Amino acid sequence: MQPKNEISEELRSLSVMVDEISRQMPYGLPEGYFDDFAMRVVDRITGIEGMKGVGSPFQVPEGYFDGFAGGVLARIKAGNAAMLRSEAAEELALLSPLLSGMERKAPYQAPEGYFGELAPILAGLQHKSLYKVPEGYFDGLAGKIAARVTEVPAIARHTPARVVSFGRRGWWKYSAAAVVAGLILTIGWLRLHTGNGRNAVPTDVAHSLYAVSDQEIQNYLDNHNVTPLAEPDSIVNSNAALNVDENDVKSLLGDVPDGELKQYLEEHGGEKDVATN
Amino acid sequence: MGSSIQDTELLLQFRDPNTKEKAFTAIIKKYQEKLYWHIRRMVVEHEDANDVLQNVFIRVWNGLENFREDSQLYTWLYRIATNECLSYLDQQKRKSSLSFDEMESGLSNKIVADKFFDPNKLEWKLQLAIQQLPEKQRVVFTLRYYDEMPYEEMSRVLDTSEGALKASYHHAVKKIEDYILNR
Repeated sequence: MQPKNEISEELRSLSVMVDEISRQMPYGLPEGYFDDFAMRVVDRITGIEGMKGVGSPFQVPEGYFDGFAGGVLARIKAGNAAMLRSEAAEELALLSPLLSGMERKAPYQAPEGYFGELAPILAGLQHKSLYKVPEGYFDGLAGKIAARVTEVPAIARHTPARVVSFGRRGWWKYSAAAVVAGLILTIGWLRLHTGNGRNAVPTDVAHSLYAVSDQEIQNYLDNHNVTPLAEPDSIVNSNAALNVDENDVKSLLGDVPDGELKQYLEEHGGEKDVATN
Repeated sequence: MGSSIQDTELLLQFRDPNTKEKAFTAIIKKYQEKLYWHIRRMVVEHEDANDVLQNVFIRVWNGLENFREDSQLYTWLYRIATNECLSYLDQQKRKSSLSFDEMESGLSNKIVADKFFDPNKLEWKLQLAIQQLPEKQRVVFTLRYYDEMPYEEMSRVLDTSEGALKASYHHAVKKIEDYILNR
């Protein structure tokens, strides 16, 4: 501390009047204020220290603040790109790039009108599209589609044959079966109504019949209740006509056009009346 | 201040957990009155001075562990006390949204409201004159006039050059003289 006289001399050189004012402070203070001041301050400090020990009732996960600043900085640096990718997508990309790259479109289809019955709100939303199309998109759409349709045959020539799975059976299976059945019926009908089949008895059968004795033939006819025929010619000609009644003819010829039947009668005129539908 | 050896001893005791509180109590008792009056001259009212003084010692408690002994303890204590005073006055100004002049007149009103106030005594006039000074000049004047602090130490407390402090002190004395003579 500087000697008082030096300070007093300095002050006196500046202002004698101020130097002569008593340095005694005129303010009063509570009696005994300083007696317990130190104790009060220490008590307050130890109180604060005690409070520090109590701490906050809230807890944060251990190590939460360790990487907090780094995490925030990383997110800021990532910018918009990170905002576009959801956390779930990022997680999946880390776990499996293959799954992450796959389209998330469900292969399943709901029955038509399902959501209308399930929830009217969903049905209402079904027709409200949130998506937008480029302006004028639909104006030229029909022309574009037509152009592509005309290109299809040319493309088809260069397209490899389509592989049809065994598991997919559709209408064609039934169509093919119907065609085969139709062919069988047509061939059968033609064999019945044309003379092509009359002489079609296999020669080997005729020859083998010569080897069979008359007695054996008679026994066979008796055992199988076969009516004996009067003339040999009628045996060959009657193999179908004699056993076909009027109903059978209707069912067999029901889908044959009248014109074809007339032509048939003209060609084989007078042989027998044929019932038509 | 002639107590640097004792201060060194007190600091050693403070750093020992077994004697920490005892040493701190000794430091308070040693400097409480000097710091109190330094603060009281700045904030005028006892209650305000009490709040500021307690805050000063709490700051001392928190910072004394890291106190580097390249300066004297009492210089460091005055520095804390002065900063705490100026912060307190600044807070008061912002709370009441008063201008500097209004704040000065507010402090003068507090002096006049003191139950011991006597307008005929020079000591009270001097206090009114001090409150007319700008804050920095007020600190310089009270440290020099009442605490008889050398410019060198004051320079460390206020972080201002000795020349600027001398000029500030001279300006303050002239203003005070003018106030006392002309009011």
